[in-house]
Parts: sequence; structure tokens; C-alpha cells
Amino acid sequence: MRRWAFLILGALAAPVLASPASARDVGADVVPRITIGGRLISTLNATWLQGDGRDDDDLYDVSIADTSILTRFDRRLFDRSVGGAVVGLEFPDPDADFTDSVFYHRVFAFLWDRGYQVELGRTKLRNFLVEFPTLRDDDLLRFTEILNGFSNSNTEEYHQFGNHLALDLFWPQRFLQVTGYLAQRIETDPAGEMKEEFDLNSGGLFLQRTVPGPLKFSSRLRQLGVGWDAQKVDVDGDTWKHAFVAGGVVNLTMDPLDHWEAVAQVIYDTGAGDRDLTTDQGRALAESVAVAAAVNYRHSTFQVLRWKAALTAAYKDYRDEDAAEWSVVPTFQYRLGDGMGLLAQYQYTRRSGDLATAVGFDQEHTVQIGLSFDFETTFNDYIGERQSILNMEHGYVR
Amino acid sequence: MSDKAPEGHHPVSEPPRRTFLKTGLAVAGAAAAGLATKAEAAIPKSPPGGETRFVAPPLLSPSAAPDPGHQTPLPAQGRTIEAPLHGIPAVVEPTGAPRDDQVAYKTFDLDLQIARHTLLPGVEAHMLAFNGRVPGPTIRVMEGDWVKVRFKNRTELMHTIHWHGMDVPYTMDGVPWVTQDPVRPGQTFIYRFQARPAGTRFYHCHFGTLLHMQSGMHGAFIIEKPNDPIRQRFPYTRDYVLILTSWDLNFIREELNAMLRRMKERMLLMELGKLDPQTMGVFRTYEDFQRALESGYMPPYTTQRLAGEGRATLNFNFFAINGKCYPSTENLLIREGEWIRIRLINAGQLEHYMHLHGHQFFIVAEDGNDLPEPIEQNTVRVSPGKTADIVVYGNNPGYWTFHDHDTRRVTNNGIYPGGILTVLAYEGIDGPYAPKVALDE
Ligand SMILES: [Cu+2]
Repeated sequence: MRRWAFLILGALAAPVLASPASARDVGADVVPRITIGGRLISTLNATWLQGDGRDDDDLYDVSIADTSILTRFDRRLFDRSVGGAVVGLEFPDPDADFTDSVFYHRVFAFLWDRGYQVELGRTKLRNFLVEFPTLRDDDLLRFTEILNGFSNSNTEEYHQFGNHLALDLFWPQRFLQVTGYLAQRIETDPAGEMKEEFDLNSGGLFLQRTVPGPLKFSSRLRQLGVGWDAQKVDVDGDTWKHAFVAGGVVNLTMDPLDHWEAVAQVIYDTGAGDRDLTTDQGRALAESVAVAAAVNYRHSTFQVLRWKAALTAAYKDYRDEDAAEWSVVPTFQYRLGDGMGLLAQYQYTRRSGDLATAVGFDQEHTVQIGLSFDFETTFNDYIGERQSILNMEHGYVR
Repeated sequence: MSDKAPEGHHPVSEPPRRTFLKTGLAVAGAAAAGLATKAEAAIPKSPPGGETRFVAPPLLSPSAAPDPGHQTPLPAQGRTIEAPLHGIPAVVEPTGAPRDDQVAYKTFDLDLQIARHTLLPGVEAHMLAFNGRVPGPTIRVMEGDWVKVRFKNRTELMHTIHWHGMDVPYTMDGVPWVTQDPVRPGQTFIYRFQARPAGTRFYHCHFGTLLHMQSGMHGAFIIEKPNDPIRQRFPYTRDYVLILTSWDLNFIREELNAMLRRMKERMLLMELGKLDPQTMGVFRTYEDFQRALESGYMPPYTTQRLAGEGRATLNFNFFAINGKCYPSTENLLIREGEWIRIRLINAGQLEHYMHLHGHQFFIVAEDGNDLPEPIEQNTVRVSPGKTADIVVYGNNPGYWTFHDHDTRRVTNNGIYPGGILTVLAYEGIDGPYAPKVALDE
């Protein structure tokens, strides 16, 4: 009896113990291109909240939020296109529902070639057109990204990440990119707990002209685009919430050592259902217009970036409510070395009308001082980049 | 200009006879030399009517004698730079050689562009291509000819041309920052020199040499003498040029991209008048360099600028004869009773040990210079930067491989057979076995 059990267990274990290579064909085992990247950002934060009928509140903490590590594997396929996988994990914001754990923010498979890219799995959603130069990508989340109408959690990752099937089509010589996606945004119950199951619940279409990084000085207009996102929220008789986004990036100077750029984006969200600003979901479902703009300066010596400074301003108006908020964020980053930075950022946010009442304070100051370490290393690069200078300007080589 | 004939380079021949051009400058010409050695007795004559044939890389014709099939640069495959930035001379003509009205120059046009080069079916790479080809076209002149090469740099990178193994005026030697400023994007540099000494020589870029020379910037420069003693002794009817190279395609791709990115920025800085010597990494004196370090300049070697894995050593994965890897290499053709000459040029970074099956050959020249006495062997070592000339007699009809005997270089991306492998094939034979194309053993 025990012997039988042992054999059965052995038979079950065999496929698990066998190395992945031996499970494959007799062809050579090709080592993929391996890219490992990561960023540790650690800041000492001081926050002061001020509001009507509320004592001033001081908060001090050390935040490692947004620290992440990312691994990427690319392989040439039989038809010389490329396929692969990305696995990444992130340390969430302190107020997230899962503060004590890590969040697998990117787990997806992909295929790409000169003219297209397909992603299937969990990753950062295409909620925005341009990136803003704040220390963390969610510092101005409410102003800079299309919000998730399905979440009543204050977990910012629920807005930024989700599962999707995204298809990008590229016209490299015209710098054109069209993106279509079907997304499964994270849904929560009214208490903010993630639901056990939910559907593909949203989709969108983006069109942009975007100049790849290595060619950033080839055109004053670096990026310009429009996008549309639809979420099937089904609240109070409204089936859909729509958001429309437009934005771009312009080189203000064509000077690689003293480089100024301007970044701007506007998001109009139709909202859906009752516009109750007291809950996270209510604010995400409110009709709103959000505008954000930034000026970014980068100073290099001997073609090595030494420090950068940025000023970002954002404004959001909740259209049918007597509510608005705005924020101003100066950011400074000094590079101590390659991939090591000294950071400082001040963020002032002011809320007015019903929003201040709903949130409980109308002014918020946050000062952050910290360090960041980031790196990206590629091993066995036998593939190259779709948008490298050689591939963009001298014909594509597979 | 030196007017001394390069006598010391011709141990096989009699002292060169002197001829005088209209300038009165002496040029070297090789005398017809009767040779009587013990090898000669065994050497049959080549078949009558045998015609001299030159095989790839294609011959570059002088511009005065248009020969479109050979000399026309291939059309550009992408972005090219046709004129230098404002304020930079379009043409640089250094002194150190006679003027055009003093001697009769043979003029050759070389341009440089980035081209997609097919190493063998299924493997393509961006390379730096003289006249759109890898390797660059072959220049073939007579010893003593006055040569003018108009080199136009149509890339965004900087280059020079160095005339390897040739005794040119130092201002024509093509070493950036030592004998000339590098040729700027869109600029034309005119090299002038007298072709000497005779022999198998080559040209290559000397700017960012590790990358540029490997990326395709090399070509054969053959200087013949009127009555070549080697030909008299071994009456060859075909003359092959085989340029041996090794490639780390991943290094080439990463570094070319990185250099292009840096150079695009430098071009912008030049336009803004902000390109200082430190950003270029070029200093007037060693003391200037030391002072720059004290004031915060970080030399690139301290910041590990190499792209990708920051490798200090290359991982060569493709090996080529005349820009092609087996099975895309061209066969060497021979007939029974024919002598052929094979000029081996190592324009790469590795040593190659070329071994011919079924024959003993004579090594007749090394570094382009005739050996005092031919050496009979079947394997010849060709070190980086060296050339070796061998002559083969067709006395064993069949198909015979000729390959690097460091068989790591007889691979394509690690798979044997490939790389530096070709076949000496007898014409007009009907043997019981004929070569196939093998890719995986
Ligand atoms: Cu070069």
C-alpha cells in the first residue's frame, strides 16, 4: 500500500522535477535575452494636513512605495519576430490594502516585431499619454491618469494596474502608434475589498505620434496624442464611463546639455452614476476635467546627466459639483552617480468646495527627501531594440 | 615626400629599376627577375590562354575610367549626411603630397554609409560600408602609381582611412588626433600618396578602430609590380583576395547604436558652439587632460560606458571570408595544371590558421613583402593586421576545403560548420562526389 502511494507520488513529482529544457524538443536551448531592472526609492516624508473643523495633522514616515524589480525575457521566434515574458513586483503605497506584501504589478507575455506589439497579462494600464516628472508615478495620480471606476479602495495600484490584452501597431517612419486594448480593471466591493471575480470590463483606443528616446532631438514635437477609454461601470442606470485624453511633450531647447522640455495632458472624464465625492469610487465616477503640465530641466556635463529639476502643476474640476483641486509640485533630483540619486520634492495640494468637506481637509503639504537607486542590465542581447537608431534610420534588421 | 625607392622590401626581386615621372620624383618599379630555385623544377606551366581573374571583393576602378559595375557606390539604404555642419570645411586636403599638377594621380572614390549587410541567409547586420559593401572594394594599382582617394563620410560618426602596411606621408596615414582630425560627418578627406611598397596591403578605418574596423571598414589594397617575380616563378592565372574577419554582432549593434546616439548629441552641441574638447574626450596636451580630471572630468573608462553588459572582451560569434560566412563564402576555382595566388588579409582581431586540404602550397609573401624563399606548407598562420600570400598548384583534382584550423571560427553563432570555410573547387571535373551545403554536424 505504502509502495503504491510512493510510486504515485513519484509519478506526480516527475514532471515537476524535470528541468524545463528536457521537456522541450531536441533543438538547441537558446538562452533568452535577459533584462533585469529595478528601482529602489526611499524617502523621508513629512505631511501636514489642514482643514476646516479639523486640527492640523502632522505625519512623518519613511516610504519605500513604488520600489520595484522587473525581469524581462525576450526570445526570437521561428518567424524572427520576438516573444517573451515580464515578471515584476512592486512595494505598494503605505495606504494600500496589501501594505505588508509585495504586489506582482507586471506579469505578462508579449510578442513584438517591427510593426506591432501584443501584451497579455497584468501590467500598467494605458491610462495616460505622457509621463510627468514627479518622484513617483502616482504622486499626481488623480490628475494624470484615467481612474478606475470599479474600485472603492484607496489603493492606487488598483487604478494603475490590471490585466489587459493590448495591441500596439507602429508606423516607425512616421513615429505613429495606435493602441487598442481590452482591460480587466480591478473591481472591489463597496468596502474596498477586491472582488473574487470580475470580467473584462473596459477598453480603449489611443493614437499618438511619439519619437523614440534615442531620437528625442530629431523633432521638436516629441509626442502628441489622443485617447479614449470606456469602462462598463453599470451604476445608477449609466452603463458606461468614458474618458478622453490628449497630451504631448515638446523639446523647448534642442540642447542635450541644458535641456528644457514641456509636458502637458488633459483628461475629460464623463463619469457615471451619482457623483458622491465622499468615497474613492465616487470621486473616480465623477464627471471631471483634469489638466496637468510640467516644465522639466535636465543638466548634463560631458553628456552625463548630473541633475534635473521639474515643476509640475495640475488642476482638476469636478464639473457638476462645487468641487475642485489643484496641486503644485517642484521636484529636484541630483545624481550622485549612475543610477543613484538624491531626491527632494515638495507637493502642495488644495481642495475646495464639496471635495474639501468630503475629504476633511483642504490643504496638504508633503515634503519628501530621499534616495533612489535604479539599474537596468541586459544579458545576452542578441535581439536589439525595435526603435534603435539603426533600426529606425537604416532599415530594420531582424 | 620621400623619393627613396623601397628597395629593402624586395628581397626576392632584383634591386628595383628607377623610373622618373614628370615631377622628377623617383618611383619604385619592380624589375623582371629571373628566378632559379629548387622549387622551380617541379613547377609545371599554367595552361595556355589562362586569364587573370580577380574575385570578390569587387575591384574599385579609378574614377577617370568609369566602370559602373565595379565602382559605383551602392545606393544609400537610410539616413546619410551629405554636407558637414556650417563652419566645417566640406573638403580637407592636407599637405604632404604632390599637387594634382605635379603628378598624374589615379583617383578613387570611397564613400561610407551605414548599410544592412547579409552575412549569410537569415543573418543580417548594420555595418559601416565603404561604397555600400562589406568589405570595401579592392583597390589595385601598380607600384609607384600616384593614388588619390576621395573619401566622403556620409555617416553621423567620425572616421579616417589608414593605409595599412604602406609607406605614405605621415599626414596621409589616417590616425585620428595623431596625423589628422577625424573626417567629420558629411566631410570629404582627400588622401594622396604613392603606392608602395608592392604587395598585399589593406586599408581600414582607424577611428574607434575596435568597432569601426570590425563593423566593415576594411578593404584590400593590392600593389602590383610590373614584372612580379612571384608571378614569374609561379605563373598564376587567377589572383584571389580573401579578407578574414571576426564579428561580435551584438557588440557591433549595441556600440554602433550608442555611438550614433552620442554623436547625434555632439552634432547638436557643435551647432550650438558648445562642443568642448572634454565632451569630445580630446585634449591638446597630456597636462590639459590631467587638469581636466582635477576639475571634474570623468574619463569614459572610469564610468564604464560600454553598452550592454559592459564587456571588456568581445564574444565573437560570426567569422567571415570577404564578408560572408560559410556556406555563403565563394568557392576558389582552379583547373588542373593551373597556378593560383591567394592573398590572405587578416582585418579582424583573432588569429587564423588557414589550412588547405589535399595540397601543399607555397607561402610567398608576408605582410605584403616577398619572402626571400617560398615556404612549402599546408597551414598558414595569419595574425591580426598581417597578410600572407600563398600560391597553389592544381595537381589533385577534386573539392578541397580551405578553412581556419582554429575550428571555433568554423562556426556560425556557435554551430559547426560555418564561418571561415571555403572550397577549392576544380573546374571541369566529374568526380564521384560533389559538395553539398551542410549546416549542422
Ligand atoms: Cu570609422
